[in-house]
Order: sequence, then structure tokens, then C-alpha cells
Amino acid sequence: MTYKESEFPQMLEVLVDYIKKGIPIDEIVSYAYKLYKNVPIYVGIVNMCLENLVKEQNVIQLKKGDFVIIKDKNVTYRAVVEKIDKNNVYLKNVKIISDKKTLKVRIDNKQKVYKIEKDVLGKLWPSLKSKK
Amino acid sequence: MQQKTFQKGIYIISGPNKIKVVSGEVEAIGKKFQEQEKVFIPEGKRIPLEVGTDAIIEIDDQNLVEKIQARTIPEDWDKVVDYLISKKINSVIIFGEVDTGKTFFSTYIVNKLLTKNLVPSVLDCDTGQSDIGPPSTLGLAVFKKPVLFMTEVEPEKLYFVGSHSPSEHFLYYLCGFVKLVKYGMENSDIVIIDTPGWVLGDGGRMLRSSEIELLRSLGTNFVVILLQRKNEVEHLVLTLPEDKVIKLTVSKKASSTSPEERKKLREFVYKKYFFQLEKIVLNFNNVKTDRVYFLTGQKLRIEKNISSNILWMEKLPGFEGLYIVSKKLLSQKENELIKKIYDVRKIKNVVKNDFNGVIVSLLDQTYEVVCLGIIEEVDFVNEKIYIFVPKGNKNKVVKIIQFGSLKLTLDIKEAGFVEPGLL
Repeated sequence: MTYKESEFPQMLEVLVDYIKKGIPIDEIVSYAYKLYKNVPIYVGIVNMCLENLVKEQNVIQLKKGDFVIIKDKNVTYRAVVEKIDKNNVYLKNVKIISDKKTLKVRIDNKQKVYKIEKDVLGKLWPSLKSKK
Repeated sequence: MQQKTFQKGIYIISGPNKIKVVSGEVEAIGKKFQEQEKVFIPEGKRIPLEVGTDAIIEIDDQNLVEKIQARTIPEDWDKVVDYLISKKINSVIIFGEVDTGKTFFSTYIVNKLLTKNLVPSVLDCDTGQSDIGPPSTLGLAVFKKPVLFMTEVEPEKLYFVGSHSPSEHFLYYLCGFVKLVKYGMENSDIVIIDTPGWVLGDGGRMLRSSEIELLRSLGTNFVVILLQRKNEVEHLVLTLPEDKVIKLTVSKKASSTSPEERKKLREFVYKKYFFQLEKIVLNFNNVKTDRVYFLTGQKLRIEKNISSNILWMEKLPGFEGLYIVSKKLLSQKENELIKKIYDVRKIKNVVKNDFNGVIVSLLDQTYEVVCLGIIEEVDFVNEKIYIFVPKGNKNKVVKIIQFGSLKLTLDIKEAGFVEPGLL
């Protein structure tokens, strides 16, 4: 065993934990970036904050202005609490992140797509790529 | 100040406070008071006053005095000095969690060593709560007379780490450690090394074990002193023989310091260091920069057909690409255009204002610290750097500017960080 000389790997582990819980990661990464820019010399503190960034709680505990993620069967909603009355919580800026099994995109479509480069390490730095 | 008779006993005096011993036998942290001696206790600090005979003491704030029943200094502390002398120890490194009284213990040991006619030095490695020298530095002082606070002495040698924490600055921290231990060995009988309270996790374990490795490599006859409440730092010394480790109990009155108090203490030390400022101007041509990309490449002429947003350009070696200082961050369009014109794949873009407020260390031709400074601004048109330095340093020769990761306002308040590797 040897010690890690940087606390950045821990940040990746925190992010992966969120992915496993099904929490939309773009919001978390954006928070991680803001936190890091605030305290760039204390990565350990950024990690500590990130671990505590998302909390599971009951609807009754929500307050106006809270940013929430709600999972409902196959659909995940991201939204901000607008108002609360006796029976309901009303959300605004609602974004739906849905799972779809298949999708057809026409080749003549001008829309741009982002591709994840899974072998980025092998392409940029082949000598560091494991043979396995 | 009000005059008060203190009966024989032990008293805790909290800061901010001032006391003057008018008469009587009074001792604190191993230092005996002279009659009429005055002491200022800063906010966030406390001292145990041991009154041997009834004493008359003038005090600023009597509400900050607490009489206690027992001596705060544990009995096992008293035996340490005799052990160090009998074993001819020439370096002592102190490990303990935060708020275990490492600096208090160092002060006590220094005062006791002085009574044995030895000349001790202290290497203050706590870059966040520096007592010897300003925060962000390692400081070494050689002691000729007893003190109550390490802040009373001027550092004989400084090394700029550039941050409040060794985190992300491990290598410079260890370079400074070696340099100052060597200096302490050459200029005193025994070096007391007061370390930060980071003793757990990867970083804490790695730093503390590296310090032991370095003391061994430097050929010192060292001991490690553990200041513990239970056994919380023993994992750091498992490989050492028993006679290299002294385990001590923490003083019962060691109190915790909140992050806010720590910040105030840091600003107090910064304000003491930057008490009066004067401005110096350094020309790009006459200085070298260290720990940054700035001024380490080949200066490029800014082509007329590219943005007026750009103030400064350098070609960095190899894959590092271009170094560009601009008024505001380059747009995607500007980025692409510049890459095309200069045929590079990478641009390192810095905004002019990122330099403002950065704490730097100014070095002479022998790489010794002349003083720290705060960058007011960098004038990229006239190629000049404006830096505020403590009064008395204006005419000293500066050859190297070493950049740190912290920012201060000109009224000496902490103003955030510079991302390592940004400039």
C-alpha cells in the first residue's frame, strides 16, 4: 500500500457513488467544480462537502427554493420548489430525465451529438494503458 | 489597567489581555517573569500563570482570569528535558492532532532548555497557524532568552510554502523542511520541530512519515514526541525503536480553536508582518519567476489581426502550448483563431486580475527569502510588476519572485486562493 499524494481520486469515488444512486451527475459535477474553484488548495474539504451535498428527505420537509431530484418509476425529475400549500408541493423549472430503450436519429439530421471516448487513455497515453 | 493581588496558585489568563507583574514570583510556560515585565496575550491565546508567592499584577480585563486548582502542565513534561540532554538529542519532532498544545509544549521545552544553558531553535511547520513568521511559510528561530509566545521572536530563516496547508504543496513543504532543519542544526544545539495537526488519512500519514525519513537522512539524533489524549497518533511511530519515541499526555487545559478564531489568528500574524507597506516595482526583464508558467516561456509578439483582449503571450515548451494573459477569459472563437494562427493545440489562458492580491515570496540571488509581498497588479504593457512589501525592504535586491496560492487584500484580510498551476 502507498498513500495517495492527491485527494482528487476520492472526488471520483464520490461522483461514482452518486451515479450508483441514480442521481443526475451533471448537477453534482457542476457543484464539485464550483466548490473546487472556491477552495482549490483544499480538495479534501471539497470531497467532504460533496459527500454531504445530496440528502434524502421527506416531501414534508421541503422549503421554497430547494433544488430537488424526484424519481418516479422510469422518470427522474429535477426541479426547484416554487410554493407549498396544505396538500401539495409545487415545482418550477422542471426537467425530465427519462429512460428510453431505443431512439432513431436520421443520418441527414444536422443535429450534433457528443460521443464519449471510452478509450481516451489508450489514445492519448498508450503507455499507461493496462494490457488486460 | 487595574492592579490586583494574586494569591499563590494557578490562573488561566485569556486573550486579548495585557498584564504587568509589579511584584512577586510569577512563572508561565517555564518562563520566570521579571518585576515590571509586561505581556500582551493575543485573542485566541491563553497562558497559565503560576504564582509562587502572593503577587501584585496589573491586568487589562479581570473577567478573562480563571483560578484553577491544579497545574496545567503534566508532570511527564518536566522529565523530557533531562532525557533530551542525557541522550544528546539534537532534533525533536512533535506530533499531535490539532489543539493538543504542540506550540505550547514547544515553548515550554525551549524555556526549560535555556535554563540548562543550551541554545534551542524552533522550526514552526504549521503554515496555517504560524507563530514564527507569517502564515504560508515555514519559519525557524534561534532562542537566546525565554518567551511566552513564539510570535514574540523574529524568524531567522523563512521558507515559503505558499499555502495554509501542505495539501497540494507537499513537495515544497518537504523541501523547506530539509532546508530549515539543516540550518537549525548548524546554528543551535537542538531543533524543536512543531508540526501541523494533520496526522490522519493519506496526507497526514505520508507527511509525518516523510519527515521522519528526512530526519534520518539528515543524520540527526532525533526523537519523536507524541502529544496524545489516548493513542491517536501512535500509528505514526510503529516502525521506530522505543527510545526514539516519547509519549506525553496533553495538557488538561489545551482548548480547541474554532476555524473562525484560526482565521483571526492568521490575520493577526499577517497584520503584524505587513504592518506598514511600501510599493516596489520589478521589471519583467530583471526578475525570474518560480512556481508559475508566467515568464518561463518565449515572449511572442501579439499579431494585429487577433483580439485586443490579449495582453501578453508566451510560447511554452513542448506540449504546454501558448500562455496567454487577457483582460477577460478568451471566447471559444478567440481560442480557435489563436490556435490556428500560432499552430498550437493548447492554450493556457490567465486573466490579468488573477495576479492581483497574490502572496509572493521575494528571493535574492542565493535563493533566500528577502520578504513576502502582495502583488498589487501586473502591467503587461510596460512589463512591470507592482508589489507591496513590508517597510524596510524597498531597496533590497530581488532576483526571483516565488508565487503562492493565497490572496490577501491590501488591508490584510484573506481574499481566497489561487488554483495551483493557474498562473
